[in-house]
Amino acid sequence: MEESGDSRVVLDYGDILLRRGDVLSLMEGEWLNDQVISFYFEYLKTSSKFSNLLGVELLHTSLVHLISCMPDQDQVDMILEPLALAQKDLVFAAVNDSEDTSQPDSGSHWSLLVCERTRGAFSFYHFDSMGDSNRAPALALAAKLRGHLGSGGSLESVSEIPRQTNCHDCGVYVLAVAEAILKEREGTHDDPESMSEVSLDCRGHLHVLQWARSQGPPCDWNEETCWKAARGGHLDVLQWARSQDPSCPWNPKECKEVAMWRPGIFRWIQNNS
Amino acid sequence: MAEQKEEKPASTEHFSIKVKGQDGDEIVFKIKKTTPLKKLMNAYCNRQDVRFDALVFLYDGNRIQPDDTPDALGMEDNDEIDVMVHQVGGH
Repeated sequence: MEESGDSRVVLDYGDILLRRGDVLSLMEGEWLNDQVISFYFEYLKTSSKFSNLLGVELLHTSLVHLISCMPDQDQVDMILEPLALAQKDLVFAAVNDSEDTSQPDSGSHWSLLVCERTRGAFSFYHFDSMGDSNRAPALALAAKLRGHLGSGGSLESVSEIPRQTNCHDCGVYVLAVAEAILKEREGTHDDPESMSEVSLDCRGHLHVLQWARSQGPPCDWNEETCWKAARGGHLDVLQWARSQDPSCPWNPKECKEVAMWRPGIFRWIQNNS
Repeated sequence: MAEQKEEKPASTEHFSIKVKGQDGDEIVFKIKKTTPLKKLMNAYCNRQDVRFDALVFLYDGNRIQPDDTPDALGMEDNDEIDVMVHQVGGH
């Protein structure tokens, strides 16, 4: 085995071997390769950065590449089955625009596909630091994942994310956005201590909120109620809370901040504030 | 795909592994169940005339490490290995 020069193993981390050539793709102006992305996903999974990743899957880039190349949904299902993705809350996949699957180091752009499960249904979000230039491969991948999961909405492009200002950092944006979403999620797992008694939090269940408000006297709600609905992506809850008389107080600016990556709810807040 | 090969009893320690490239190219290797798969990976790379680290080998979607053996991965006769090339992206 050639183990000299760029083939020299620099880091053995989980099931990732980073070679010198991979690490060099981190240099200023270079394009990230799939190995570095897989490494960082593995790092996010296994380092103690996040406390609860039980419901999270960060797919290996090679695995994503493999299912992207598979013409047959049966094959895709067979490959994905052990991962039990239907039980996950969040699934991340780095999307590459490579069209020639036999050419080494092909491709020119990375973006991020996120599948989120809320109340049993999957939503698909596309984060592309170049606008929507990876939409075609992202759509193709989303179709395969949707086929595997058995259901799911159409692919929504998230436009409210930072854009790259150069021609080489898309891979870094993919990693940064994935990490930011995980951080956001970490915040939503409140420990009971931090849940203030005065903040009515229905955890996205509209009927719970409706029940709580129909009591005599109704349970108190406050800005945090709307904020939590925005952060959890529960548009129906937010809409109902705001449509009541008197409506639930809110701070649209703060709600928008936490709903940044959910286009539907973000637009609604913008149009209704 | 049916191929000409001598039939051996199931207990044989050699078995066939099909390595499948994304260009549709397939190569069948005979390997011992206890031989580290890097031998097969090296042979494939030599044959395709690419560097060892230019390819990723996947079994059932899982990345194969050079020191893994067919036994350790629970491989069976005529199982397939998928070979993927690396990808890059910048803009």
